[in-house]
Amino acid sequence: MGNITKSARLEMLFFKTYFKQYLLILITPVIFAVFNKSLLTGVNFTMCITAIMSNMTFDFTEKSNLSKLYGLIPVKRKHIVLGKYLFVMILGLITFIITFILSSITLYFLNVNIDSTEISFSLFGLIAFVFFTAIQIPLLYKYGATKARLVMNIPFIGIVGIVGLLKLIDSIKVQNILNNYALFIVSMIILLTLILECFSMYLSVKIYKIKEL
Amino acid sequence: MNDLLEVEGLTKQFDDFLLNNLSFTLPKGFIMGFIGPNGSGKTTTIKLILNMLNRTSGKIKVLGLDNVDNEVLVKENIGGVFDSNYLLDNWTLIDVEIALGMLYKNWDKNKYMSMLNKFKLYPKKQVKELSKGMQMKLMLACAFSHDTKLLILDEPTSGLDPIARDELLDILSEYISDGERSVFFSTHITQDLYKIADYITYINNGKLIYTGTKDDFINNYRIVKGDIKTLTQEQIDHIIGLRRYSSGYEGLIEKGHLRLFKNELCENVVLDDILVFQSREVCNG
Repeated sequence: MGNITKSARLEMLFFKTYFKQYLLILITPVIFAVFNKSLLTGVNFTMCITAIMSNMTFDFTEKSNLSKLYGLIPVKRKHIVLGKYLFVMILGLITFIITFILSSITLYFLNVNIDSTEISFSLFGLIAFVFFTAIQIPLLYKYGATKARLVMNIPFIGIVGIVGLLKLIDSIKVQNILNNYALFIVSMIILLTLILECFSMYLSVKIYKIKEL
Repeated sequence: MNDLLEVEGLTKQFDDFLLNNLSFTLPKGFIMGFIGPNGSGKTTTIKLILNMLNRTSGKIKVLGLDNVDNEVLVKENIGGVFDSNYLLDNWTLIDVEIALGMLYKNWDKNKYMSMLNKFKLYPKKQVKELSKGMQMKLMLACAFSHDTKLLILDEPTSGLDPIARDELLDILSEYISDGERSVFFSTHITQDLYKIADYITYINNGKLIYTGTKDDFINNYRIVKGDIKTLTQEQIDHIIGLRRYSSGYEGLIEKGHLRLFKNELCENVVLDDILVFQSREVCNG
């Protein structure tokens, strides 16, 4: 675990380059809350942008020729990969908590009530973040950031699509379904996301272990 | 264990290049110059030592340990200096300390700071603000701060001015002075090796041409000069590389074949002569 944590901390130091942009992204849900009077759009939008940003480290690792650094440091390749996942997960979680709190405070001052469906769908933003990054990371390890540029936009396409879809759905019907099968649905989503995440990790480790730097 | 680096039968097959059956050893306390023309396989060999590439066959041992099976332990003891820096441009030298300090068990922060001081590197500067020579010193400071036993340098002097190159050579000589450390120094600027290299490993087109002491390497060759019209077929057969002029020729030969060139002018060689003539085919001279 020690080496995975070290590797995740190294990713954080890489991510420092984007920290100012990241802080700006963190306040976007407030703008969405003011204009949209909704928790859902802002939180999901932020999660989507953060999913894209979290993988920017691939981009500048390639551009800054950091493969030599990875070649020198005394950390196993497996731990480098798992550190990347740990970093992405921590970043996603922190982003979700901050944006959720900021949006909720904004909506409170605007006297907008937040219903339970909206909270559920906001949680879905976190799951979608994990889902999309789990698809992205092995592809980025396999093809690199330059070749797989389109891959970095998967979260944007995916989350925008899902949010659009949710807007079309009759919220009362969804509320009923959620009330009747809430535990089952939530359990299944979490289980499937976890399976996907584990498979993604396994695949990335396998790819990166034999990758020539 | 006397050899810090052992390479045995190292082979790496690419689609368009073969590093073929490379074997050499670098004893403790010495500097080995790893030379060869561009594209001869020097960087490939270094990447194989660092396990950045997967070898096709062969063995690499650092401090007696297999570099793949004991990767972490091996890399704790290897420092690297490359032709371009391997750190993030936006990092300050303090960020570099934080990043590398958490990765190496033997990292010594005080040593790092004293190395920065010695090399006149300001800790709050960003990596991108450093000149090429300063970036090289930073990489050396990083390598020395985790007590490396083997320092690997890949074309470190390319792009450096003569003063920075000379400084580097002094630093390397000091580094091995305790007899416990070694330097593996890849370069095609052979003048650098005169001052400091004890051993030479020379590769060309992926094949090992020579490995051994620098003095033996240089002593093994001679340049012969003469009239082109007097050149016999037997002499041509023993010339390694030939340069023809309108008035005569220059050729690289092995010292053992000097008897065939009794009437020609004979000169000692410098490392560059060996590299240049080895790459010239006799028939095209």
